[in-house]
Amino acid sequence: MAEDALLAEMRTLRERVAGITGTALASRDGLIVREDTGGVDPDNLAALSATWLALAQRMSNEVGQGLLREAMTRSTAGCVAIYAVGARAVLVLIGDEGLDISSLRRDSRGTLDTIAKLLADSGV
Amino acid sequence: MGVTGVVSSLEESLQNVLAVDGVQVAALVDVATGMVVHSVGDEGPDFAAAAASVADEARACRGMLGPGRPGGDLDEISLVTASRIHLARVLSEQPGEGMVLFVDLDKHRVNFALASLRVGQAAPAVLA
Amino acid sequence: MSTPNQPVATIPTPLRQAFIDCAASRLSGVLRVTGQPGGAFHFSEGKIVAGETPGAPGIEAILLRSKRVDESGWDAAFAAAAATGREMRNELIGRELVGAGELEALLRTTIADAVFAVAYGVVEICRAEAPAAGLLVTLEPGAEAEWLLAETSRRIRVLRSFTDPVFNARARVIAVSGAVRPGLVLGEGRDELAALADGRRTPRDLAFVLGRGVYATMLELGRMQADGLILADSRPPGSPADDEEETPSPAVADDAETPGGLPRRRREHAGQGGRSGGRDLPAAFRLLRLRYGEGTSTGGTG
Repeated sequence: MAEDALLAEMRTLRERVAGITGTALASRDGLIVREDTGGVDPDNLAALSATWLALAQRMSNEVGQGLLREAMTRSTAGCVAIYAVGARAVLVLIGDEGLDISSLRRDSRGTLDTIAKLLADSGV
Repeated sequence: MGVTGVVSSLEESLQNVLAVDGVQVAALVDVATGMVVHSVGDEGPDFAAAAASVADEARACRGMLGPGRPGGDLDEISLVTASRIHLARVLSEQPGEGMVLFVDLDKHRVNFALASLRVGQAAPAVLA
Repeated sequence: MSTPNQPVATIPTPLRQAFIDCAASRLSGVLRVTGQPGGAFHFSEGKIVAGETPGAPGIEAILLRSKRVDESGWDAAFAAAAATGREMRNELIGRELVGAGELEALLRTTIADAVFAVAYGVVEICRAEAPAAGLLVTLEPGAEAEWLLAETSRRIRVLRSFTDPVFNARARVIAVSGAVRPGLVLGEGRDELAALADGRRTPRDLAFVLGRGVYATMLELGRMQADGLILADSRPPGSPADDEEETPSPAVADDAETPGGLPRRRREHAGQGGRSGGRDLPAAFRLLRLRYGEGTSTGGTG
């Protein structure tokens, strides 16, 4: 089933990359699709992520830097990264101070591709 | 000593404790892990195990004081044998953590009260 | 080679040998360890002055999370060190944010923790590299490799002597519901651990949240497991979900698609994560939970 497969993929990424404390998948129009955040409000997260992705892509265009790969905030107690998934969704990854960023960049690639395919297969 | 000549702050303060008459070993022990953070003096072969036991004692004693600590926080634990006095002076404490100054004294060289006093005087400088 | 879910019995040989070699050659540079979690150790003339690993909180996380140093103080020290080239260590001490002795002690314990975290996982390749630029809080004088290896071996022996053999830093832990009488204070940091052990977090995660060492956290969790207060679960990554975490929606509602056409999951538990037993915990425990509200939350701003 598509629902469980999406969560399973997100969960696998969380297991694989040390320091990811939560994940969420939102639609580009700011609605939560799946969440595994351990307590962060998913609706707020989805709305913020959709807005942020749009802004980040505009910023990348503005400075002529091509396709947005990742947008990240880094704060005292951790970080948040977002990635476009296809044209319709955004993946949000929440990490603590110990997030293994190089592992994240390497392993999120496969997750993004798999999630994009799952969404495409369910007709999105 | 480091290449740059920087002297370890812990080395200095523990050496001051070691200078107290009768002290054989002075060590900083981490309660949460039982690790010897730093030590000076004549430690002997089983010192790591002894330090881990000191850490366990500190945890057990804190537990004995009960929630709310009506009598105040743990200050010191002492263990006296025929020839030795072991003092463990609590230097810092947070939930699940803490550091103790562990001192091993020759009982024939110093009496308990004086040892406790001198170690108590030298203790605050260790983490400062 | 051990898998991520099989705890090691001794320090992996490549790591041990690399430390010995770097000490013997009086390396001034970085020993980079690839693996799970892997990490990097900064050497100065053969002694270890700093360690970084995703597997254990570093000195910044320890100082900030434990509230020994506040964020603005740290930032001021960082800015000053970056501007003047002075050592971070001296800025922290000079601004009286932390005592020299306490900082030295904390650096020794966090470096030991980093070595332990790397050694207790999977070690692939160890390679010495040139010194890395960057602002670190460094231990001076540095720690002896031999001392760190001996301490790491001791820690591994201690853990193996009493914990469940599958217990490791990436096992998820959950508090046993009803194991603690309401109102009872466990002490020794156990209350916070019990409150935060929600089935999602691993000992490594708990260490980061609380700003404590990962070995210290594993040790206490091991004792709590023996006392029946928590359970550890170390299923391999990607295992099917069980009922401890999000359960599939029993009935998918008609508005199960977002206007954009994506399959939408109705918010059942607002990602509570814990079992129903979590709600039996006394009020004090709930206060310690890092949640953004329960049930119908209006949510924080994140």
